[in-house]
Amino acid sequence: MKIHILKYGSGSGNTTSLINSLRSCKQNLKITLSDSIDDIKKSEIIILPGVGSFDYAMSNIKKLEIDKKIKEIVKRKEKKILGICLGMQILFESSEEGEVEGLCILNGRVKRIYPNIKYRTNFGWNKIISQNNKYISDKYFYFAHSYYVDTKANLNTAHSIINNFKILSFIKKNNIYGVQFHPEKSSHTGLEFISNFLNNKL
Amino acid sequence: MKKKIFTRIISKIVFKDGYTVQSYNYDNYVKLGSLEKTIKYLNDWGADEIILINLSSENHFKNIQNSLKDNFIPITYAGKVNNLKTYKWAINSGFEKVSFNTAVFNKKFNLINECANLGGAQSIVLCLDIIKNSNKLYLYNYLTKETKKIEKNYFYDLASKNYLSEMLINIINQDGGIEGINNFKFFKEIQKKINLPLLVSCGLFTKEQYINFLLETNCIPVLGNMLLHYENPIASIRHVLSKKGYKSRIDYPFKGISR
Repeated sequence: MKIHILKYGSGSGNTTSLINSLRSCKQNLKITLSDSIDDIKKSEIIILPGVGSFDYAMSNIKKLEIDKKIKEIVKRKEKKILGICLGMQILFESSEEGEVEGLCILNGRVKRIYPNIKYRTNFGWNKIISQNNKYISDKYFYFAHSYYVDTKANLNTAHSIINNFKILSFIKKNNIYGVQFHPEKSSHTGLEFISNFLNNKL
Repeated sequence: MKKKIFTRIISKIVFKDGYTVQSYNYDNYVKLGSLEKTIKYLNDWGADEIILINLSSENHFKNIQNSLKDNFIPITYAGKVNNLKTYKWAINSGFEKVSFNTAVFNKKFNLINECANLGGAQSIVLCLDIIKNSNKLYLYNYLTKETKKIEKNYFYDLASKNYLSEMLINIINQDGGIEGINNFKFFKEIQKKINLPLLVSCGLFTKEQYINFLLETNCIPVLGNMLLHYENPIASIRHVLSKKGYKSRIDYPFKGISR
């Protein structure tokens, strides 16, 4: 199985843990990490990691015209896409974090989490609440984010509640998956999630 | 009904010249063993996060990097982060967050800001090394042994900066000790006034000390010494908190990570 992790800019960011997690879930994975359209074409799964800021990621994606390729994949439903944290946020239209337009694949806006919750950044393990996804429901995952997605789009979703505030934590629409949490940092539940994603169980 | 989930059980590892060590006041050290195994144990015991403090005379970057391959929980790097290169190395190696301490003491805020622009504010922890002398607290520079008086608004001014996401107070001369902290007022007041999580490493030795500190101050105590003297204190802490009505992310028996 070929997996491509999209590199947004000069640094690889914290993608090492993601690569380690993928490797520990399934053997014989061919993982590439680059900003090359060729690598995207050759892969079955594209992962948009949670590295950097909204503008930084989107500016680089647009500069290299990767946005067009991703939209094409979404349209053809030929590959699976997983957005993690910021990677999920850029699937939407815009963000309060910056001024650059998102990928606009899904309708919705990314908003600042504070002062809806006590701290500027939500760090910690939160339980996922889902009506229809037994693979993630009632499980704890690790979150580290200062922004959240606000959407009214018709998606298969799951959420978590922090200080009585509802945070969209999981989305699925056709071949697109997004998570606000970090499965690669969520211990055994995170590895189970990655394994279920790779095995088309989610 | 169960109360709110208690935040995070964070464990501290001190690494020096190729080994994890038991540290006493960051001055005397006893060798413990391999970093890779220590990280693996903490993952298996159900720690929520790890802080790795690298006190090695040479950087040992390769050794540290190799030890992270079986780590699947968030980990913070601390130790001589005084340039962008070290920050980039830490993030690219798989560290979730990077802790700055001498850079804070020396007010190198431009460097910290530059790092935050690159990796995001969620990757920045400001660590304040503090020394306790005749019941008064002073800022401390680990490298030069210099001390400074803490100004009244120091913590609030730091916390108001946009490029950080957590603060860590490290009480140097309580490290490796057994006394714990009895005066919670200082920490409680800081935590009340800042909108960031406040982590405190202060030589908590028993689970009672840990739990009292957690519940009285709302800060996040960092487990250090206790890890070396009790069999899986993380499980005991979760158990006691669960009895007090707090939810935990892990239900026991914890099966660990299947490898």
